[in-house]
Amino acid sequence: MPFRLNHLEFLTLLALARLGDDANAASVRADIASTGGRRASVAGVYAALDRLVHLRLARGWLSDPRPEPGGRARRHYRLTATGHAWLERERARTAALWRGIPTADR
Amino acid sequence: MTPRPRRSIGRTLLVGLAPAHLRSDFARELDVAFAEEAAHRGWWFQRWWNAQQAVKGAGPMLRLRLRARRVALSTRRRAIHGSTMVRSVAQDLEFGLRTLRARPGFTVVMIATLALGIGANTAIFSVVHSVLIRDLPYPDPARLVRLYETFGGRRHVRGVANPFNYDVWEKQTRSFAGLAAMRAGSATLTGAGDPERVRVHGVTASFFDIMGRDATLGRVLTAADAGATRPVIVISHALWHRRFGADPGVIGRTVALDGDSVAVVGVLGPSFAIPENCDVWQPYVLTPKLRAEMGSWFLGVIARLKPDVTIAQAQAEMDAISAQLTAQFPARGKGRGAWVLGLQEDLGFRVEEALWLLQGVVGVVLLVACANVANLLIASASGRRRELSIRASLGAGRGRLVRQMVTESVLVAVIGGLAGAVLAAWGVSVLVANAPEYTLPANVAIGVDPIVLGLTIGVSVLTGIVAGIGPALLFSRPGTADMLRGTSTSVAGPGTGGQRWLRFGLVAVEVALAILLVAGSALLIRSFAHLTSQPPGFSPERLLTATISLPERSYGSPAAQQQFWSALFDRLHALPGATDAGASTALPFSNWEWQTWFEVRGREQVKNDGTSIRTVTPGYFGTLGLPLLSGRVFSDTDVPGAEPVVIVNDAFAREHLGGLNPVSQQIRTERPGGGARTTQLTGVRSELAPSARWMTVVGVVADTRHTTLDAAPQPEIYRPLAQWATPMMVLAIRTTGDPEPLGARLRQQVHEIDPNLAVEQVRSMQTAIDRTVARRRFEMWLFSLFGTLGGVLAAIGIYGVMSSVAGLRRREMGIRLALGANPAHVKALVTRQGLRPVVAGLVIGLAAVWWLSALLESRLFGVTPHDPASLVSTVIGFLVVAIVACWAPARRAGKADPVTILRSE
Repeated sequence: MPFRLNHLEFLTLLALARLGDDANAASVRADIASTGGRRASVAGVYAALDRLVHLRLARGWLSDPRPEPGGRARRHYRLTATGHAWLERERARTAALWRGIPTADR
Repeated sequence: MTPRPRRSIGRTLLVGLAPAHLRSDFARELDVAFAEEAAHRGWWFQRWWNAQQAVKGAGPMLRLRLRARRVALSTRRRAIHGSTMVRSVAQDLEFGLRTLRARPGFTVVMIATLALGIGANTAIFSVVHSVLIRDLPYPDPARLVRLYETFGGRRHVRGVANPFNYDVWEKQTRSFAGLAAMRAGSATLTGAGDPERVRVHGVTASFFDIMGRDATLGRVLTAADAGATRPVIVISHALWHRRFGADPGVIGRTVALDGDSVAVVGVLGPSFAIPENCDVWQPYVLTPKLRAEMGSWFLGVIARLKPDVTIAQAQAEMDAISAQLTAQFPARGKGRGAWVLGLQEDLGFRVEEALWLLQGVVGVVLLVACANVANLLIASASGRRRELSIRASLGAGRGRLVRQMVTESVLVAVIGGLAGAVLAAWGVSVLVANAPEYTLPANVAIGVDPIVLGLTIGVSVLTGIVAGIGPALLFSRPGTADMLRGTSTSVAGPGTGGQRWLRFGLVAVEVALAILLVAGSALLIRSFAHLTSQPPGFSPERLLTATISLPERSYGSPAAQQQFWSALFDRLHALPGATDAGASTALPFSNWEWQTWFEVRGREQVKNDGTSIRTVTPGYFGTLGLPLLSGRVFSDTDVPGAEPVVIVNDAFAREHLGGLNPVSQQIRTERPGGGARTTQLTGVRSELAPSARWMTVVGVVADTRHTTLDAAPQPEIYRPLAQWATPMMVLAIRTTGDPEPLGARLRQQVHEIDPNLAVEQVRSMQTAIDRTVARRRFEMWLFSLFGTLGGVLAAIGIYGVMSSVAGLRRREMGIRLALGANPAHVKALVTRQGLRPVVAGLVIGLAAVWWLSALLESRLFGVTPHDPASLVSTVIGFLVVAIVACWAPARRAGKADPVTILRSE
């Protein structure tokens, strides 16, 4: 099924790739803020993560409840093999687009 | 613990937008972010933070909610649709079963038709699968190959190899992981009950490594056994059961083969069948002297390909080696080569073509059955038009009606298929039990296995769809439904248009297919009748035959051999119930053949390809009733010291003594200074002659057919037993009554002279002749059986359609009769119209026969594939059946009372 990711979804996917096995919405949002220079809303990141899971590019699961009074389970995310492959393809595609363009001298 | 945020409109709005199943999860994430970014800041900042989250997050959250809703909806729809589908298919099945139960006669006919069609296919495919497709019971069987020598560049005669070539192959080829040679022979087994002649194969050391199978009891032969002081053998599972009562203590037991003591070291598994029908495997060594032998051919060769080598690559290598050998030894002759044949293909070689042909035949039978069932379904649907129109008017769509009708036909087909599988299991056992020897490969378990059963069910479902889809599409057409909704206003009744065309088309197809089957059977029957009417050249009635081989250990000298034969014939001439007795080293139809080099005195320069030669007793010609054409037969005066004499047959006189008076001509069968070589079909025996003697022809006898009834008589030389001692003879005893019971007395006479001698192949000459035509007879029976089945199904189909169509046209006939039509004309009209599709089918069928009967050419004897008698009789037969099938409905139509018909309509 062909699909397109919006900019935030793409940044979220990159964040998942960087964070490895133990990402959650908050760490993804922090990563986007630090590397993408963009302060995304909680709902935006949450919706992006949900779409990536829907597209099978990422997988989400609930952790055990936190060991504190009233502690609840938290949703964690990880990139799937499909997600990795998609990113690799995207990287190659972008590299191909840049081929032959010299870096501008300042 | 995460600090609780202040309640705000933004947060409430945002959390409210989240889909219900994610709401608390999302709220938590929001709270975590709030705790990290805003909880420790001032009131205004907290308000601003919440507002900013609400503004930026509302859009994505709304999209998330819509997506979740979309997913939920489609999941629900799929679930609902799935359960409706299951429910409606279950309904269709239940309704189908009810409909079938309501018309038991109709259902039984359809199931029986399909059971016969599918059963025949399953039975034949079981054999095809077991013999030609299923893997052989050896490890990595695809790599096992047989190597044959070919002559004259032809690759259809599987020739044994000579030791020199085997040696070259073994040393020079790189395609094989190993090669082994097998030498066929036979020996008398004693020391385990009555003496029995058993089939013995000497195999080289690598044989069992190549086969990759171990013994089920004891061990197989190894390289160490070849030179062992104590000879050992491995026996077949069948021999173990037959001679040793499946005694596990057989290992280590000593028995005698032709008088030599050998120890049994192993018993092979029941499926081990290389070489076929072998009883005993013993070590065989190719000595350096033997490996240099270029002039005789007696080695079977089996090999295992290296893992990455294909048969084609091995063949290319063997071709290169053959070309090199021909260049090195020009005397080898042109066209000599080697043939690499996969073991499975080799075992199925004899039956492959016949089996695929039979599979085609039963496939055609299934098509006829399909056409019949389709016709029955149309008849049934015509009767159900009211029901169909009610269903349509209640809202059933066309797809639903089609599915209902196809479900019914598939149901019938699957029940028919299951019945067919039962029929096939029985049929296969009957087929295997009745197959003549050497028709199907030995030791291959042939039966209906799960793969075949799965395929049968698949074929059944397909058959149901093929037979049911035409009628279903036709009767579910909206136009048809509309027309059927009310009373038909068509004069010709509801059977007009597409329906009649479809039915007539089906009849034409059925007739065409049946013609193909029946004409093929007729050709084979005529061919078989022609074959069995061939005179063998002597009188085979009341003739008992038996083979006796004298072991070299006790009968090594010619004197000992002569003494035995003389003692035996003295007894046989006095045997009550026997009128005459004779013997030959190659009695007709005994499967023995000896050939020799020869030359005619005065024509030494005339080249020939050798001739058949037999050593016979003086009473041989009289016993067989072989007419003497000129000269005399052998007498008691033809003794060793007297003039060497021979008798030739008419074919020899014509071919090699043309223009001469045969009697008193001289022939010799040994080269001056050398030994004559007489070649047996299964091996070679050399007889060193004392000198190259010229032998005088003293008589000419009539020709006999020797191997089969369809083989033309070959030139033959007969020489007297008294002048040519032999260790083997096939006896012929003319009896006063049924010859077979005399066999026991013959055995008794032989054992009174020597209790260690085996008397083999004790049977009447008629049985021996029948064996040579057994495979053709079997084929003819199978083809005729399926041909008849196809013909009968087609006849039932024609009758069914004609009576049903005539029934549907009662209204039209009633009007015709009411308007004054002559009943005879009405009958003629119905018959004429009924015959139209039959004639069309006949024409198509004959064209197909003309084109396809060439496939049968190799199985025909004395008739051409376009034999007019067979084709004309088939056509006449079909026309008679069709006229009878059309006549009964036509008669009913002509006799009908117009008033009753019109009132009832």
